[in-house]
Amino acid sequence: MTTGRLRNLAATLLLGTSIVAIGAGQARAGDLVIALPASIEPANLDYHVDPYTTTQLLNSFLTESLIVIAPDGSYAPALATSWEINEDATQYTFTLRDDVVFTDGTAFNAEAVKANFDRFMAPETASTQLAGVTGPLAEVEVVDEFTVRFHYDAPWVTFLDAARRAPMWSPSAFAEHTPQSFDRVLTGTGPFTLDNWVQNDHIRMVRADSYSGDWNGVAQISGPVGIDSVTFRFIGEPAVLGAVVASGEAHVAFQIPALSVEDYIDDDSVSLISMGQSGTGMTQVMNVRIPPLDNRNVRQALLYARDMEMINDLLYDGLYGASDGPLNNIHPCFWTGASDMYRPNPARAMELLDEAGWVDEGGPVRVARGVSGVADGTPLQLRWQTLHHSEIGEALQALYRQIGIDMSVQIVPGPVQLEEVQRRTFSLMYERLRSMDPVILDDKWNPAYDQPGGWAWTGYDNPELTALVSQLRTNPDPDSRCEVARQAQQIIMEEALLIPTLSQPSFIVVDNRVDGFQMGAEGSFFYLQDVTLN
Amino acid sequence: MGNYVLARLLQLLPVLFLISLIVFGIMHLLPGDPALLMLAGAEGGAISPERLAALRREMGLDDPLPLQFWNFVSGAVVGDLGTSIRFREPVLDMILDRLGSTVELAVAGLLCAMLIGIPLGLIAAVRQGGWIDAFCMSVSYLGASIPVYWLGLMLIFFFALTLGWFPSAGGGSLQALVLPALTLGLISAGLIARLVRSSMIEVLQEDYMRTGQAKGLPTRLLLWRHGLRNALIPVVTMMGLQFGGMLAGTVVTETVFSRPGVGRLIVNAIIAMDYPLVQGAVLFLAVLYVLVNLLVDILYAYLDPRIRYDS
Amino acid sequence: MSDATLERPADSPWRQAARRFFAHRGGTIGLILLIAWVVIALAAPMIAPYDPDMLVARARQAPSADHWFGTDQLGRDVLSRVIHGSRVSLTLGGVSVTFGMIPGVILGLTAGYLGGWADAVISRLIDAMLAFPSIILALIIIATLGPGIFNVMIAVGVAAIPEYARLMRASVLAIKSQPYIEAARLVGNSPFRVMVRHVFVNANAPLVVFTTLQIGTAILVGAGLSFLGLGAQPPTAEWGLMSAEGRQLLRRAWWISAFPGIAILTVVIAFNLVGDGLRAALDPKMRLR
Repeated sequence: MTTGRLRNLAATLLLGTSIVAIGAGQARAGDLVIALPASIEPANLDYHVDPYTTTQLLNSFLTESLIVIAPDGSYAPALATSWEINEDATQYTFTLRDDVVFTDGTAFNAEAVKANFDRFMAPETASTQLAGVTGPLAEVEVVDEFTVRFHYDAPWVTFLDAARRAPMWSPSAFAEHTPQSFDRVLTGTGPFTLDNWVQNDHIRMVRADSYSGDWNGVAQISGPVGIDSVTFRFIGEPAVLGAVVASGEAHVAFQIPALSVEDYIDDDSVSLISMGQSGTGMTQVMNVRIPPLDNRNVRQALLYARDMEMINDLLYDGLYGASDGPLNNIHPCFWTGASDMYRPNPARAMELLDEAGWVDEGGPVRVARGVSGVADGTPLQLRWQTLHHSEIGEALQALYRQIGIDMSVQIVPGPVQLEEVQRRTFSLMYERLRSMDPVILDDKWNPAYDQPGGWAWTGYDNPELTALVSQLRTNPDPDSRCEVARQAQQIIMEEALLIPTLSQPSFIVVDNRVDGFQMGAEGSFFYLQDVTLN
Repeated sequence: MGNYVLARLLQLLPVLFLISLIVFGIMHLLPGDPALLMLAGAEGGAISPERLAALRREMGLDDPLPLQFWNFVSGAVVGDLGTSIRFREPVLDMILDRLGSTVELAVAGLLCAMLIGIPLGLIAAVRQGGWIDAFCMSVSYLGASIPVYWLGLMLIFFFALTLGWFPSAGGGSLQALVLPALTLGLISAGLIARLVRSSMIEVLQEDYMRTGQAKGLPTRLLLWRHGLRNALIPVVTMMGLQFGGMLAGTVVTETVFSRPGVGRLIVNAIIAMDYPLVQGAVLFLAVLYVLVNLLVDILYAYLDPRIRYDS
Repeated sequence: MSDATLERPADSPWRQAARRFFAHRGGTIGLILLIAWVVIALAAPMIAPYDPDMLVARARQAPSADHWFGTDQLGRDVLSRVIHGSRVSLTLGGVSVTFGMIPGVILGLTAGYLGGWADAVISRLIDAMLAFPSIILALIIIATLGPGIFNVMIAVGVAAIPEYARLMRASVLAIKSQPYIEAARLVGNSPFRVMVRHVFVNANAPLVVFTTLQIGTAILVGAGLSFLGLGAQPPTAEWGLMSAEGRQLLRRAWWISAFPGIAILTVVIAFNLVGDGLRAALDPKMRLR
């Protein structure tokens, strides 16, 4: 029996049972079930505290922010109707809606906005991500009941990013709880209220009847949402996550594995969405402080020896996105020159290794001959450490072995990753930052952030590059920011400071009984304001 | 009886002390700085050394080790197991939240093990040497030798992904409990079957059984009335001990089936290096294990007056 | 009794034990299985059809004439990896048991022989260690040492120490009260030397049986750790790791997870069967059945 036939058989069986399952009342009418990978379940459900994108996503169903990113990637009004930025990007003034109430009945106004920002900027809250994005905020000024102004002492060009991330909670609700315990309450503006959260299992939210879709620039329907409740289920096994929509256990499966996508391609009862996420893509940064990666020839050899297109086909049916440089190919500021710079060329890679003094002496692994700082005869060994997607490392491991590099692949937990980075003992370390703003290049390549908690890990220090990426913090003009970002990417690629691999898109399966499911501008978020169930 | 219980409880004290010492010791050998982990964001931002130092002081990481140990033990005695780094919630609350699901799974697993193991063992004993015996014993060997995670994966593949009879993951419903309980139960079923078989064979050779047979009493009556009851005594003891093993088995089972539970909590905490959570949860499980064993011993002494405990 | 009688085959205790072992059908089957796996492990490079770490074909191919067990997520030959995996698992079983046995036996001997205060301390320590389920003990040891196959051996071994110590202590206590120990002392022999000799002769049977069963357990626990991502690291052909890597593909390529699992099953079953066979052969109480 061929794989295809076996799979079809399995699919038929699954389809047959799915009708039974729904009929048995597993998914109650009006309750939307969304399956998410367990690996992205938050530790704390309040984005004021927790740094993860999923927390931000889940918060977006419980409340709004001042502004929102529309599906086309532009900022749209939400709780603020309009906003103004002064010339040097030190003052941001927002005009607020005057008809918004939190689900506990209290009114939303400028005082509430100030209370929210004060809350997550306070050290007791120990906000990780949101406080970082907001930066050195000097003051939140309540101009009048529905006008609020944010002041910075020095230009801070990325404040709108903070404004669209920061969820607005009811100040009278969070005043009653500690920063750590408020995440079981989360009183916002709607469209849902938090019903319960059973950790490692599910989160349930019920419709807020006081909600108006007008409060969100993305929603089309005015008034409360058209479903009773939404349940988010966290699924640990990727293969199972890939199958829950087919088996009728969920209406929507978010971020299914690429290899499950094929199961749904010919299925007319579902829609399949694939959406990229701008950012750095999945990269391995090189530690240039210690041999062998202190030598540019060796670093370039690693880039010439890889073939990401082949690996994409091999591992993911070619469904992953290309990520050829320090920013991935779908990033608005991607430098296209990166795609042509290191076309697969094992012969060139071997030449470069020879030049660097790593020579082939007949054994399976190249050895050092006259490499400075390395004893002659030392084998050419590297360590590939990653949090996930180790199969990419394993595929490259096989390619590198063919040119005489012995590379080990290790899955490490997040804390070990930080530990290795701190001790600066790693050789190739996984790093991924996700943002449509090119400022992530500053985070990652400015040596000023080479400190605990910073993201500049590589150890490369070049004043020219530092000057370029620093501009991304102060220059408010989008076009010239991108231009600066492209120049920086060119230097990074010429110096071969990282191995770009691939970019992981979000694959989402939505059952056709769900209407009005709306994806965000990025694969990491979606909207439920307009959803109804048939 | 009262003295016996008291003596056992007193004996427990040094064991509990050593358990907490082992947990504390291992945690302090772990690499990594808990304060740094607490501050490290996931996607950006920098941490100032002053903030790090302040947090270290706040968390008591700069205190001398004996003081830290004293704080840990004195906290644990009054139910304060510390606060999780990642979840920022009291460790005890997190454990208690998930304990129900784990106990539910362990009980269901034990039930499965008994429902499969006892009949298998009985049949094998009565038909000793026949092909049924051979079959039952093969099944019991399979159960004892199969990797838990693999059995779980294969059950998911057949019953959830292919046949769609049961949900493949999650907790909450009885349906979702079937596959994990079966996974856990099949492992112990083999052990129970073998024990039932051997103790039943022993009972069958006892004088009263032979006498009964000689008197012409029906075999079935003899088996049920006298045989089974006596054969089950060692099984009951074993089951008490198995319950602790069951709690351990939930570690892998909960991971494979994405169930919320204490076992999965520990695995995730170890992977995320959430020290207070690992420390608290491991201590909790170890103490629970000791207490369950004690309870089994006391119950056993109570139920079986033939056994005398003079220590 | 002369030496000649001792050498007569019919009376040799080893012969008798061997006969009892082979009379135990399960033990015989287990031994055959075990020998088969040992041969496979020793001859792995010769009998494996492909290099286990090389991408030899299209990824995720179903079992076929070229690839009996199919190919994995990268296009490596699953059969070759299963064959090479036997080396890893058998080594893991053997080495980790040694790590557990040596400290365990020493602790148990000391406790049993010295008695009194030392016994009390060691016994409480054993009780305390036994309170940790072995997989959890192994997990936290791995967390300390970091992942890797050698660390798994240490972790699984350490987790077995209390069991060994308890076993040895019980044997010593049983023998200590025997009249021949007292007799040896009266004759002027060092009681410790006498005891060690007697203990090893008499405690041999339970030790051998337990070790055989423990190797199986160690292989299971080690594979479990690898499955959880804390054991062997890629591209090691370790059965637990292989099953774990294939789990994402359960629907599309079940063979990647299935065959390594069957391999573990057969090895562990072999150790369990041999262990029971040995028990029947060596344990006098068991002989009655």
